[in-house]
Amino acid sequence: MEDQPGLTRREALKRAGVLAGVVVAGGGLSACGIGLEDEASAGSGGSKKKAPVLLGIVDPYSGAYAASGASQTQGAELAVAELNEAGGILGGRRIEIRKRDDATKPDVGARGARELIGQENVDVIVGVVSSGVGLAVSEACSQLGCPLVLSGTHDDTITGVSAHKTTFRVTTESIMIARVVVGPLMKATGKRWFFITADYAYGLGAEKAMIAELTKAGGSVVAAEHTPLGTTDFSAQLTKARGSGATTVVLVLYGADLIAASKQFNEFGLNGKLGLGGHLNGLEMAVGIGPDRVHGIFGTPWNADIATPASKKFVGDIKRRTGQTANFRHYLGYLAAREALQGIDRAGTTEANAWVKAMEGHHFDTLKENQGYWRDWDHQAIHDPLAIEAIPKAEWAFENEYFKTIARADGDKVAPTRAENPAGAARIHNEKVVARAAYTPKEA
Amino acid sequence: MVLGAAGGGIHQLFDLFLNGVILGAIYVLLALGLNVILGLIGVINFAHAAFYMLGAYLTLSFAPHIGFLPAVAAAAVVVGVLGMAMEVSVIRPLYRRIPEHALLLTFGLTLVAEQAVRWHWGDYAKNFDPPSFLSGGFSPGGFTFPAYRLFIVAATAVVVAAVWLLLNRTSLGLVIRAGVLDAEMVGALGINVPLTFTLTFGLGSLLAGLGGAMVGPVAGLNPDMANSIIILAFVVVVIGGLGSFWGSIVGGLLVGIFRSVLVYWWSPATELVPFLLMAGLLLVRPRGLFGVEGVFE
Repeated sequence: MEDQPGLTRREALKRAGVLAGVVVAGGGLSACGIGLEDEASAGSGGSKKKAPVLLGIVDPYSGAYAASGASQTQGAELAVAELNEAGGILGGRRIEIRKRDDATKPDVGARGARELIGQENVDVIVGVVSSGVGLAVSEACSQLGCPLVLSGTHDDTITGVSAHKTTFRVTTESIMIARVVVGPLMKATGKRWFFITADYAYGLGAEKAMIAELTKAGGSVVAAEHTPLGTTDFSAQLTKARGSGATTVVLVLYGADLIAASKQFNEFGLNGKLGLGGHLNGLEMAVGIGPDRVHGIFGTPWNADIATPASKKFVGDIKRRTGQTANFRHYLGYLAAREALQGIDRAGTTEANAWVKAMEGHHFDTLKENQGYWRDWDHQAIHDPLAIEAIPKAEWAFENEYFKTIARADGDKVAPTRAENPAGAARIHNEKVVARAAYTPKEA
Repeated sequence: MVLGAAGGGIHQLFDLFLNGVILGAIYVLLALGLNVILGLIGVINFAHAAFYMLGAYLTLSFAPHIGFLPAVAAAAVVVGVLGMAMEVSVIRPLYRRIPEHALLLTFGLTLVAEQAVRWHWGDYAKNFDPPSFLSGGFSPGGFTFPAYRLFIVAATAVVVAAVWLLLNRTSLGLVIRAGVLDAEMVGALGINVPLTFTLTFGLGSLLAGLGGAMVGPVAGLNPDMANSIIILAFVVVVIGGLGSFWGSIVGGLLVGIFRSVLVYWWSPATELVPFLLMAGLLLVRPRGLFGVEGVFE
């Protein structure tokens, strides 16, 4: 080219580096929010129509957990539709949704939460899949005095050393899942375990919880390989596992990482030679691995084969709205939004202190066999975690069943006790809710 | 943290080395097209990752109708044509500007492509398995070579040979290389230089599409897959040397072998080491292993 302006190699590399940084932070670009529809601002003269309650949703719509984020949001939308059909909350106020993409990145998630609170004036926030993002969003909501119900985010620290008064967590935390899944997995596959674990808050916490249960039951850890979130090739870890003398490969991964590792477990001919299991698995991953190719025993807060009428109705509603078989992310999104909004209705106001009081100790329908309740001293939802096992397509009772429930644990028995979680209890007990700036609570 | 292997020893290290060579072949395939465009046209093509993703998704859509191998070829060709259309419509006006304009443009197109994939194929990961005649594996001496990965290695070797022959043994290759050295002179000889640039861009894009079509089934298809490869592809190119054909190949194999073998000692090192390798190498050899004088200088 004749006169391309001179750009030195050094410069070119530097600029490529800057752009690489942009890619890493890239989700931010797609995180620019979309306000759904314009609404007349609250209290604008009209005495007839009350201003709606605004539900903020922070979920990943891009990044490694995008499929889970889409499902959680669909679940939340179902809860909002049900409540609106029943006449709204707080004496007839309708509920409207405002969304932000957290891009599976803590900084993007926290910024989204701050925008929802500061600019959109939402009354309560729900959502989040990744524990890393959940910790950041919980911190932001606490600083601004906004109620938050986390849908996903299994890491124990969320209701432990990083607990906040304004934060409640709906999913069964990592220890609860570990305590239901380790026994059946050991029994089915053996007791020398090779861990492949996502190298961030969720993976490391869940691995620790599983190792504690494993060693308590007489098992041993052959190796624990930590891979960064977003790893696409596990061939080296699986090659190492093969020659390691382990009985079981344990995947403490989620999203695209879990799909890649599961596919490659099959690809390297390990199925049948080594046992397979892990901490969590669900339909959003299973459909990416394929029928008859999903193997092993995992944990989950809910599974589509649960035979209660409430669960069956939920599966039917999700199918009608989305065309999909409900996964446990739909369930968590639904439960989080329903609980957050009914909490406002019980409190009779969107004021945070009153809402926290209305949530603490409240018993709720889990759609499962047993009721659940919100524990007042750490804000963890107590309900039964399940162990599930992959089944071949020939055994499916309905489309995309993929997993059958093989064990259930009593939520109260497997949740960390107050003695096991003194930090969480102390933080909830001592923290004062920050008064929200420039905000008038909506009343019944 | 558990360091080292519990059993296996030197045998396991050898298995990891072989696995690394196979993994390296995949990286070669990912980096080659990027380096062709960078070396010959001087455009830092971030849309490489988008073309990679499109190659994978198009193969997924074509395969049920025309079979796996024809689908791979068709997807690569479609992506190559898309690349040419992109060069003619939006890249060409930027040749006279500073390179980061093209870089930003292609980065933006990658975001557009990601959302387009979400829109058309959905947020959920897609199940896409290698065809049955390429599933299974060979296990000489204990280590399992997945048949599909061996197929990728063979295909990569064929592609590398074909691209080398095209650029070095055909008159088209001669014109492309001459056009890069002195476009004005080549134009004065009556050769359509812009067309050769378009064809080169098409070739690079086709290689990206081919990479996605073949590598997609290994890790699974999802709308985020573009982001997961682009940085590594650039690292391979920089280690090998900007614009160096053989550099991409040696760089890809080096990164693959390092990433695999290091798992023997400590898994997290696998993410760090390609970057350390790049940084260390640039200090000693600022043009990378086989960098050509004059590219971006």
